[in-house]
Amino acid sequence: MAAFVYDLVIGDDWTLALGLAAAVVVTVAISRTTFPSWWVLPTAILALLPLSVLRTARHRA
Amino acid sequence: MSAGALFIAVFLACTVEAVEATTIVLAAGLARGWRSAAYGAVAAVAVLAVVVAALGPALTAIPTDALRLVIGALLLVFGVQWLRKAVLRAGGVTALHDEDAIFTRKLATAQGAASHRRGTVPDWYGFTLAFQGVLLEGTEVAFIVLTFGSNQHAIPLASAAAGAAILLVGAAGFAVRAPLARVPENALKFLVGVMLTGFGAFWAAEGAGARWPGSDAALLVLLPGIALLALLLAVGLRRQEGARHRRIAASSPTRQAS
Repeated sequence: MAAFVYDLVIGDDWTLALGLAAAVVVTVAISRTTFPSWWVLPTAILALLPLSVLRTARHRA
Repeated sequence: MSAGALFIAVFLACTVEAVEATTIVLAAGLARGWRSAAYGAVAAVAVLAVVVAALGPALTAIPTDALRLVIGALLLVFGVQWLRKAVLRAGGVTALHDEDAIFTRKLATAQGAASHRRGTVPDWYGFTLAFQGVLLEGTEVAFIVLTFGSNQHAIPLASAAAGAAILLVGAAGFAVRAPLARVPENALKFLVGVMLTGFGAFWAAEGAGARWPGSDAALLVLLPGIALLALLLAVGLRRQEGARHRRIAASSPTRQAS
């Protein structure tokens, strides 16, 4: 069951999941200040998705 | 998010999962008999309905911001993983999802297994194959229904969208008695990955206390932006894969000669 849930949510690249979780934590932290925080998650997607995809492509090559 | 948008998002996501579950049920039905496969599929749907009915009201009782943060973050991680796989398939790095090939493999395995009756189930193997297939694919359906439905306080509507997708795909699969290979599954997976990622990021940020510029209208920029990023990555990977194959083809005569 734990393996199934891990595969469902975390998937093949745990570093991607960890990076996104960290971005959510940063969003929470910045939201408690007067600075805007909406940009953190789009930026995280913009950075982490290409990194993960390119890393996988390099491994398979 | 309007009721129509919620319905379409959940319907599309559940259609993809329903196509995969239908392939397994068809293999079980054709190889082992329809009665056992139908029992297995109905039993799995019943288990999933109980899960949604039990967790749904509990989730909607959680304060909206906390719910959006947790559910949004889960949906974001789930969605980005889904999108990552779709990009790798579209870029030619991993094989495209092929329902015909999956069906052939499942059918061959099911035909070779021994048969035995258990209770009112004529063939236990057929029942188990259909039950596991529908339960595994259906768990993702339940996850999508619960995340989208609880965030919008519209679990009945999300359940109706999932039910419509399952009924439509199930009826089509039963009518043709063959895997629904004509459904553009890989394109749908790409689209669903974009939606899950976009809505996940939007809700997680809102739950964290962020205020999006333009409020809900930000989705009109966020979703196309994610789609564009994914498309650019897929095109880049396809070019890279093409160049790699050309290099391999060019170097193989040299290797043979040496």
